[in-house]
Amino acid sequence: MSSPERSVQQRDPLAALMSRPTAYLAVIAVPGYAAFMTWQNRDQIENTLLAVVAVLIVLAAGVVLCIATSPLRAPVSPRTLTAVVGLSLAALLLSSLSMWSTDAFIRDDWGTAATGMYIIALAPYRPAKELATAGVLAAIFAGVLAIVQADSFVTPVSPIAFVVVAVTPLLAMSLAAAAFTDVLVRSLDRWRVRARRAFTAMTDESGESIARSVQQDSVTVLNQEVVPFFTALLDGATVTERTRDRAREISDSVRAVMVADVDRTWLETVITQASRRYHKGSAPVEGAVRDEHRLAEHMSTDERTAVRALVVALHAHESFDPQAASIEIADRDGMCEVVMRLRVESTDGALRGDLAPFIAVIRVMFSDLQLEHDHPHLTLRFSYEQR
Amino acid sequence: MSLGLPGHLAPHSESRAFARASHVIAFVCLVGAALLVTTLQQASPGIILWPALVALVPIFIVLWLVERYRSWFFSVTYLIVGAASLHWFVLAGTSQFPGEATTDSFALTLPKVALIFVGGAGLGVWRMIAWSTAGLVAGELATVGAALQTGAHIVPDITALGVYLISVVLLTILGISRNRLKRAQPSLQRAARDEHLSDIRHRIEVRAAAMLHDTILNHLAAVANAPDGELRDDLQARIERDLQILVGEEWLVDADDSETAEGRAGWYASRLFRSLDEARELGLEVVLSGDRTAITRLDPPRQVAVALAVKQCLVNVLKHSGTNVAEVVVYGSGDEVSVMIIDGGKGFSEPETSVDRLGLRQSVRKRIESVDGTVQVWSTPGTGTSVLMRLPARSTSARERTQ
Repeated sequence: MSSPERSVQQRDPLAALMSRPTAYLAVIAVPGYAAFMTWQNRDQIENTLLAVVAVLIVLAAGVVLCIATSPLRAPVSPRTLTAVVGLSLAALLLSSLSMWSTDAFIRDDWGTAATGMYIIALAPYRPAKELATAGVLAAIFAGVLAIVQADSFVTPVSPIAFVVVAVTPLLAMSLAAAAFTDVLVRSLDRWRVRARRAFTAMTDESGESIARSVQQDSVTVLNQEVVPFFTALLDGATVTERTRDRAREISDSVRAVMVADVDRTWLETVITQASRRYHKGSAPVEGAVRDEHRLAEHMSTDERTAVRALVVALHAHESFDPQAASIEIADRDGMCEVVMRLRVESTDGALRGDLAPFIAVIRVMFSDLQLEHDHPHLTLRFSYEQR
Repeated sequence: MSLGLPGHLAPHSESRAFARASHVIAFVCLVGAALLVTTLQQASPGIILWPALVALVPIFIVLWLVERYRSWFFSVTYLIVGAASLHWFVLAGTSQFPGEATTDSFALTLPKVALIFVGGAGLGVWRMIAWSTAGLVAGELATVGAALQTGAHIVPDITALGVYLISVVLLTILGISRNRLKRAQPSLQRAARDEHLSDIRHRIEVRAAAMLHDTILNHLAAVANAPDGELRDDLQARIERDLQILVGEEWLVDADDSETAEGRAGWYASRLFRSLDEARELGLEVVLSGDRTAITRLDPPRQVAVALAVKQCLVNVLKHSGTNVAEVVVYGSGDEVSVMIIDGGKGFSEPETSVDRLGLRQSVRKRIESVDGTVQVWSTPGTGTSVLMRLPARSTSARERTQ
């Protein structure tokens, strides 16, 4: 997720997820508003079919928006913005055509406000520049349309006034969406710089103490067998068949410890640590992770962070059964496929409550997440590229 | 780290973003109102509308102030001055159309909307909703008050009310959704921190494992193959030296060797030179070719890593290849330094290496990867083995600084 795109969704998936309900609101409110205003203007409509199609198209734009902003499909592409704005403008055109020579008041027309509201709903998903550009281009289209249609309006003012009435709501909403995104992305960027600096400082500060602790661990291992063995040899002990056997034995055991360490992936370490922390009584589960080819190592830092946060949250949850959990990572056509099989005893509440945000983050990080919930079993499937 | 703002910063950024968006809406609406008044004035020169235009000036000024200094004082000032401006605007506008003007005309709705979008001080969506409500009430009171003076028709402004209701619903939904998800943010930040620390630890463990492999395991192997009697002096000396380092010194804390401390410079001061020397002591004939000074283009930790990895490769040649000749080629190109170790021995196939995978994996591959390098191995039984290590060189300026 290190894309350079300046959208909130790319910089802060959780914030984009928080804005998700606005997409639902838009898909209900905007076509509802369009239908209501069409009904209100029914006396001015010459071509009912065009008016109805216009409402259906604006509904279609809402559906496109709703589907595209689903976390399962993250991130939202520029094509979605083009499609939603394009459909809205098509609806605006058809709605204007449906009452071409009989439209009395341009302020009753719903097309530009609908386009503006959709652009607002897309604010968390696209960069500020795109939102502003889409708004300005849509405003130019709406403005030209207002001038062309000016003869039908009853208010005796210059066509410029109609342009102002038509484009003000659209410009206000799209520029507000752009401003909102711009401020949020800027503060996210500032935070990233600060966080990176803090991490670098942490590396410098913690590096030394971690190095000491790792060294201490190694010395502890050495002191058990290696140091006494070599000390005896250096003190003048002679080499015999027994010494040679002992050297091989020690070598094998040190090697075994090292191979086990080398074979352990970060995921196993995380699970062991979490289980030690939250389930002190029970022994750590052996074989909970099946990852023969050590594919866990191919996850990016952000992906690891998301998985780590979920694993820790699961262990912290009282109704989670660590003994019944398994994680499998396998290679499927060059992609690493993860299957997490879990057992969470509590009812749906846990999924909606404590665990939901973590599953949501997983969903943003791994866009193909599939979730199966057959109480109390919970299965998560997702995949990632080998890096 | 792209997991968003921490809990203590998020509300500030969000409030700032909402306020900026509100002010943009207010500004566009006010510009729209000004343009409408201007076009109306141009279309009907007989009526006097310019005072309405002047009435908008104070609200533009307080809008700029509340955007610049988002404080309680300027938020309240915006509401009071804005309502007064709107009052004046409605007076100046509706008085020119006696009997015709209504309080819900579009030109009047625009400044009312500008008042709804105060974008006032404080954090959280509930406070923003409170400011919007105050803006709506102030705007309606100002309009109705002016209409009573000029005799304009008082009609409920459905557009302004609709805009208010939509923004309230939007903010409420965001507020609820935020509360549900924000609990996860601290855990995510902690996970990111733990991930970072675990990465630091992992790199250090790789170094430790490689070091143990190079020393202890090699010595144990030497003892396992030693003849009866006392150990050879040179082996004793090496064991003693390594034990002292491993148990007594902080060998992990500072990996940087101060190469020039012995008064040597360039190639002869490099750890790689020492590695080749040690391999020759073990009885291997090492042929060096290419541009050996290129090795000094690596920074000290990479020089150490490549030297120890090359040593392990040469030990592997002695142990497994059945030949006692190896070639080491060093060359630098662009921003990269490559070192290749070639032997004409018996080679190996991947499955066989699992027996001694630790040496190649820990002491060569992981060690080089931990300093951002790459390792490629080509080997087939009967045709020998080539190991290529490629590492990023440091920039020229960095080199000059250290020299």
